[in-house]
Parts: sequence; C-alpha cells; structure tokens
Amino acid sequence: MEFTLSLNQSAEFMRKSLKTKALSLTLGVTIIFIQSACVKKNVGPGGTSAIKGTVTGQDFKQGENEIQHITFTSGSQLEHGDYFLLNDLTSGTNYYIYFSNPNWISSANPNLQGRTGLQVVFNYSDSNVAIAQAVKVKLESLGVLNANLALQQDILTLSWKSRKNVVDPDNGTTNFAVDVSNQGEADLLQTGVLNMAEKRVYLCYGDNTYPSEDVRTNQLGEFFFPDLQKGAYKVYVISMAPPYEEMHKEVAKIVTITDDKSIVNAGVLGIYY
Amino acid sequence: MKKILLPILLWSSFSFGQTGLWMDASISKKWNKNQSSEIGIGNRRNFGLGFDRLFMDVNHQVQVLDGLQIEAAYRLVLNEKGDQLVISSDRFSHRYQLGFKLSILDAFDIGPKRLSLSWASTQQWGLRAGQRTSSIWRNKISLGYDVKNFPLGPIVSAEHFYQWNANVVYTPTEVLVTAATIQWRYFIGTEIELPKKQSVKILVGLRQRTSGNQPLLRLSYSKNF
Repeated sequence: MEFTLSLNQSAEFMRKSLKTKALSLTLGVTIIFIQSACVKKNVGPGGTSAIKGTVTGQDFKQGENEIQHITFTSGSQLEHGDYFLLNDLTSGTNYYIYFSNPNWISSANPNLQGRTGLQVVFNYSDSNVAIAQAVKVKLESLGVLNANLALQQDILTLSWKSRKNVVDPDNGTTNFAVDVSNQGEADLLQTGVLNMAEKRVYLCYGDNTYPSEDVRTNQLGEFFFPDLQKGAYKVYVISMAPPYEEMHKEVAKIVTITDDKSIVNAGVLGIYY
Repeated sequence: MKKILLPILLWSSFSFGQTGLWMDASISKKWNKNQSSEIGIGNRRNFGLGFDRLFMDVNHQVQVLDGLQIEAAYRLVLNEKGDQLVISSDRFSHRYQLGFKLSILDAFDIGPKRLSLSWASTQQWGLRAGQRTSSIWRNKISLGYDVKNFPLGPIVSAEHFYQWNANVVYTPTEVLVTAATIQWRYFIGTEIELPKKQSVKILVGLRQRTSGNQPLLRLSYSKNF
C-alpha cells in the first residue's frame, strides 16, 4: 500500500515538475522570440562597419556673355564709303558695314579682305535714329545671328547668345561711339582633377531621401563614415552643374555593407566646383 | 571639527550631480527545489539631474548542482535622461544575460553556514536602436552574513565589467575590435529581513568608469512566494 502510494506521489511530482519546466521553457522562448522581433536594428549607426571614399573635383568657371553698344550719328556726319566693323555676328563671319549715298556715282564698298560687307543706304538728311534703324534692319536681314539686337533710340545693343569672348567692334571711319559694357568670356573647365579637401559628404540610410549624417573630407579628399550596420546606403556630394554656376546636382553612389567589421570603398565621387 | 566636516563632505558627495539613486522592487516564485523565477521593476536617478533609466526585469534560475545556479535574464530599459519622460522607440534598449552563480561555501561545504560567499559570472548583450550592440562579461563576488536572531545582515560585493567590443578602431583597411575593462562596481550595506518572506536591501556603492567615479545609493525590495 505504502509502495503504491509512493509511486503515485512520485508520478504526480514528475508531472508537476515537467509542467513547470515546460511552462518556463515556453515563457522563455516566447520572450526571446518577441524581443528578437522588437530589437531588429535598422540600417544606420550602431554597427562596426564603415564606408570610405574620395571626393575629387574639376574647377568650372562660368563664362560671360558679351554685350556691345553702338551709338549712331546722323547722316550729316557720314560720308559715302564710311564703314564700321562688327565681328562674329554669324558663325565665324566678321563684317564691315559701309554706308552708301545714292547721290554718289562711285562705289562705297571699301572691299575689306576677309570680311563680309553689308551696305546701308543713307542720306545726309537722315537722323541718327534713322541711321540706327537702317543698320539694325540690315543686320537682321542676315538671318539667325549670334547676338540679340535691341534698339533704343540711336543706341543699338548687341547681346551675344553664347558665353565667349568676341573681338571688340570698331567704329572704322565713322564717328559712331562703340562700347563693350560686358566683356565676353568662355566657360572654363580645368582638365586637372584635384582631391577636394573640406568638402561635405552626405550619407542616407537605406531608402531615406534626406541625409542622416554628414562628414567633411580630409586634406586628401577622403571621407569616412564609421559605426554603420549592414545594409544599403547612399553617399553623395553636391556638385556644381555646368554650364550654370548657380545650379547644383547630386553626385551619388549606392553602397551596400554586407559584413560586420568591414570597410566598404565607395570609390571616387567626381564633382565640379 | 572632524565631527562637522565629515558629515558635510559625505552629504555634499551625495547631494551633487553625479550621485545615483537606484531603486528596485521584485517578486520571486520558487517553482520547485531547483527552479525559481523573478520579475522586477527599477528606476535609476541621478541627484540633481533627474531620470537615468526605468527598467523591467525577468529572470529564471535553475540549480544544476549544490551551490551552482545557472540564470537567464532579460531587461527592458527605457533610457530617460533628465526630468522629461519621453516615450520613443530609440529610447528603449534590451538586455539579455546568461550566466551562473556559484555559492562557494555551499558548493564545497566549507565555512560557517551563516556566511555566504558567491561568484556570479554573466555574459550580457545590450541592444539599442542606433547604437552598437554591447557584449559584456560581468563577474561579481558577494559576501554576506546572516546574523543570528537579528534582522540585519551585512553584505558587500565587488563587480568587474569587461566589454568584449569596448574599442572599435578603424584603420584604412580593417576594423579592429578590442576588449577592455569598462567598469568596477562596489556595494556595501545591509539586508533587512521583514515578515512574510520580504526583505529590503540598503546599500551604498561606488562605480568607477572611464568617465569618472559615481557614488551610489541603492534600495531594493523583494518578496518571495
């Protein structure tokens, strides 16, 4: 009887013990499972990996549009055969504009070599405004010009459409006033590539649109983002966007860290500055 | 003069800035002869600065041999700083522990029964969004004495914190992770036995870190079922 009771008690104890162990195990596993789900780390800081790279740059200087002004005199101050010079009005062509009075029998054309002559007919009674208007009409008859023309009273303004240096106009044999109010200059893009020191480099975590952190490059143009976790990142720098100095663009690289304790090289980010 | 100066110095040490007040309460249940579980909450504050952290602990111990326990624990921490309580995901951290506790005198059946000497060795992982996972090995030596027919029992402990990934050095080609001691922690105080399996511990302590020393005052309440 005692033996039977003892066996029953033992079995009961075993059942309770197993139940307790199973409960503890289930509780532990559940907690670990829930917490493992909760503590998933996002791409970003908190790791042991890093991204490095270099920023290089080419110097870009935006040029200037040439602006010239010509102030005309009246017909009474012109002579049959007078001329003045304009350069590069159409592609690669330089001109001389000469004035012809119909009362004269002889040719007014000075026949300058290497230039194209444009004849403007005038009378001694023409006002300075009429002379200016006649010249403008003549120039426009050439078709598409390299410069925009604007006439204000007797002042003809020529604004070049592209940024380049244009050889200055010359009043030739006339008494016109010729002025260059803005000296033209071509865009400059240096061929030499330099390491960019003190350049700000941005890092976006994952698919983030906006940067989460930034660093500056050292004297060798190198940058380094430490303490990153595994994942994809976008590294970018801001570059000038030729042909306009005022415009900027992003020069970016997508970098993926696949291992802990690794340094991933983003390579060279080339910019214009 | 000394009678005045010493209390002033002690008071000033505990009144200013860095002194920590650690308070925690726990309940434990002994499932059978070998197993027990504990759940607790705690709050740490820095005098003059406000909150340091709030946390909740869960742990489970299993006695595998006489005097030898293994223990697994989890702590959910809300890392609040200053006087503002802000609930945001990046302020939570999680701590996992796995270790053992060896009651040396019990294990080897030496020394007086009222004296306890234990060595607890724990591997701990701490996870927090935006921060590197910490991996720390903690070793703690505790000494206590249960005074006969007296509710107060002196206790003293020293604990060493060794972080496996304390230093991360980036060279141009590789990442070097090295270990270092990051903290020593000492406590001395008393355990007060209360009726109905309750007890309160009052401890003063000091923790030494590279950032400096911090005096501590710790109050712990526990109840067993």
